[in-house]
Order: sequence, then C-alpha cells, then structure tokens
Amino acid sequence: MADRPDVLICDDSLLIRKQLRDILEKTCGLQVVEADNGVNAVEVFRQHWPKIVILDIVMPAKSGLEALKEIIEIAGDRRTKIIVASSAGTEENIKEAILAGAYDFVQKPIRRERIVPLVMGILDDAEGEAH
Amino acid sequence: MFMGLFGEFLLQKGYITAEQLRLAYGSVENARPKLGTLAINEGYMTSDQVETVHSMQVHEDRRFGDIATEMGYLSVEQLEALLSMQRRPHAVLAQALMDRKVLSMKDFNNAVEEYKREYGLRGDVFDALTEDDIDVTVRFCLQGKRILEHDLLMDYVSLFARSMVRFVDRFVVLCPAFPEEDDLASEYLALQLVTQRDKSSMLTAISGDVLSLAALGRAFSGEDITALDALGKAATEEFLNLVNGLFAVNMSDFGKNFTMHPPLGVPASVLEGMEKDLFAVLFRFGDFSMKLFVMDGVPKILEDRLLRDAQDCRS
Repeated sequence: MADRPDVLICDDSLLIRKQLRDILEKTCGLQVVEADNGVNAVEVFRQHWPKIVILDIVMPAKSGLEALKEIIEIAGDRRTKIIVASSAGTEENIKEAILAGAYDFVQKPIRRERIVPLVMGILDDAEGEAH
Repeated sequence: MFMGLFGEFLLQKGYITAEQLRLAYGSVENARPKLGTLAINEGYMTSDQVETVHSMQVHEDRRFGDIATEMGYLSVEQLEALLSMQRRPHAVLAQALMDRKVLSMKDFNNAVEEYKREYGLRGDVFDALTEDDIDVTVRFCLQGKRILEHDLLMDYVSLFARSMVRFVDRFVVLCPAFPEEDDLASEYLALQLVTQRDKSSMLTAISGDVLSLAALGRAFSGEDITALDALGKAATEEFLNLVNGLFAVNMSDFGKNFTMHPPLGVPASVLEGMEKDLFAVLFRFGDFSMKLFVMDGVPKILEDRLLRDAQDCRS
C-alpha cells in the first residue's frame, strides 16, 4: 500500500475540486485523486485506497452519504478517514454522517485554516501508528 | 447594502457622478466618520466646542469622546449614539465623499432628507435601513410586490442578499424585477431544487449575462475567472449551492427540513412557460447584474421535467 494517494476529493463542483487540490497538492505537497460524483467516488476509492476521503453530501448519481456507507463497507478495517463536507451543515446531516462512520464534518465554504490542520493531523496520526 | 442603495440614489439625483461614486466606494475602507462632524450634524455640539476639543487633542493623547464628555459637551448617551452612527454605512459613505471633497455635509444631509421624502420613510425604518438591517432593506426594496406575501421566499431572498453582501460585493443593490417586466433572456441558468420533506420543491436559479456571472463567480471564489467557462459556471453553481445550504441550516433551526438536489447549469429555456409563477429579483453589483428566480411549490410534473432536462444538459 506504499502508493496509496493521500486524499480523494469527491465533489461534483469543479471549483471545489480545484480549490481543494490547490490547497492539498500544491501547498501541502500531498498526492490527490478526484471523483465528481458518488458512484465515481466508490470506484476511485476501490482502485486507489486513499488514506483520506473528502466527500461532498449533495452530489448527482449517488449522494455523499450513500457513497460514505459503501466506502466504509469496502474499507473494512483498513485505515481510511472520511471527512464529509457540505454547505448544508444541519444537525441532522452532521449526525447522519458521523453515525454512518464519518471522521469529521466540514462546513462549506471550506476554509484553508480548517481543512489543512484536519488533513495533516490525520496523516500525522497515521504515520505515528505505522511506526 | 444601504450604502449601495443610497449611492445609487445620489447618482440618479445628480448629486455625484458615477466616477465619483466609484472612487468613494474604493475609499470607504479608510473612511472613518469623524465624531466632531457627526456631533455638529446631530446638534449635540457647536463647531466652537468641536474646535476646542481638537485643539486639546494637539496637546493630549486622548480620544475625542473622552475629552468631549469630560468637558460636559457630550453626555455618555450622546457619545454612544455617535459611536453607533460612526459605523453606519451611509455615514461612512458621507465621510468618503467629504474626504474627496465631492459633497459637503450640508449637501449630504439634503440628499438624505430628499431620500426620506421620496420614499415616505419614517425615522425608525430609515434607522433600520442605515443600520443595514437586511430583512428591512429587502422588504423596502420589494414593497408593492407579490413576493412579500410569501414568507418562505422572503426569508430566502433576505439570505441571498446577505450572502451577496458577504461573499460578492458589499455595495450590492437589490431591485425588484419580474419576468413580465424583464424577460428570462439569458443563455445560462444555475439552478437548484430544494425540497422540503413531504412537501413540494422550491426552485432557486440565478442567471445573467456572461460577464456578470463571471464577475459573480470571480468575487465569490477568489479565482481568476474572466469568462463563463467550466470553472466560471462551477463557481456560479457553487454560490447558489452555498446559499441554499445556509438556507437549509437556517430552516432546520425552525424544525423545517430541506433537502438539496445537486446544482445544475442549464439553458434558460428550461424555465420557459413558468414565467407567471416565478418571482425574480435583480441584484446589481458594480457594472454587473444578476437575476435570482425563486418559486415555492414547483409542480411535480415541472420538477420531473426540470430534473430530466437538467440531467440531459449535464450528460
């Protein structure tokens, strides 16, 4: 699993994918893969086994929450952390995501100060556990 | 938002030119209404008293308000009122125009009185407007329009206006516009259906000319967007998605659960035939403008058609 990418960004918005890629790849030097809907998210996850998935809730083809449940099932006991992102940070959405196994919830618009420490913290922890 | 409305009024009435207004907007960040000017304007202090305080400030490193209250020129309540006024948008605009020597305080006051007369504004409504109470401003801008009877849509338009101020342009101006007065002519719509659980959908859409939507996307995203290309369209859709997400959060606080469908970029023709049921509001920001369309209770058959057309358009 040495080639596992760090982050899978899954969002139907080209803007969000670009902005997150700019932050995580260009600024943080992470390896990033993308998907533009829930169906593709599951497929890309199956192919690449990224360490972290950033998953939008409102997406065509398959919602983020449906994709989340499938990814959790596929991942099994492999260490993958899923961060759910949405502009609709209602209590119900956050609760549903966390109950389904999400590691954290991020409110859109996603701020660099929020996402960078969250992602880097997860990767640091994973690194620590590996040694 | 009031700064934009009042700036436009000054322009329409010939108090200032478009160039002067643009330059004033550009300098409002640094314009801080002076307490002495406000105190004279409110009749709390004479110009001699203000001059005395200023001359004392030359020798003492103390604030205007502290000296004026100590000298008995101002009461604490008057000082608090002036400090509150200092933050009001039209006072900031007045200062920016005075700093640039475009208008005197007297001219500005005359314009304020003319504005109040023209719109029949009572003092409390005018105060709410100048305090940038967006709900009041939106109701004021849409007075006489049918949409005022729709509480849900009015809540939505207020939130949209707040988001325009927050994410796009603090000088945005809201103007009523309806399809019968202002047709749907536009090549592109960013559209999103928002469904209330067990109820029908609410339609939300934004449209505008290519340059305006690119400007909206650029201001909102901070990206270098100059055309309505894939990134420009994505930014426009994401802005709508953001507002709708905030709306869902606000509504959930009142026990109303809204589910959002993915935002879509579709041809304007998707809305053809729905003109009479749509409410349209025009937002102007700088040289640009965009229209917001809202409709509560989208008929099921139209909802299905919209989603199908939109899906076809996307694929």
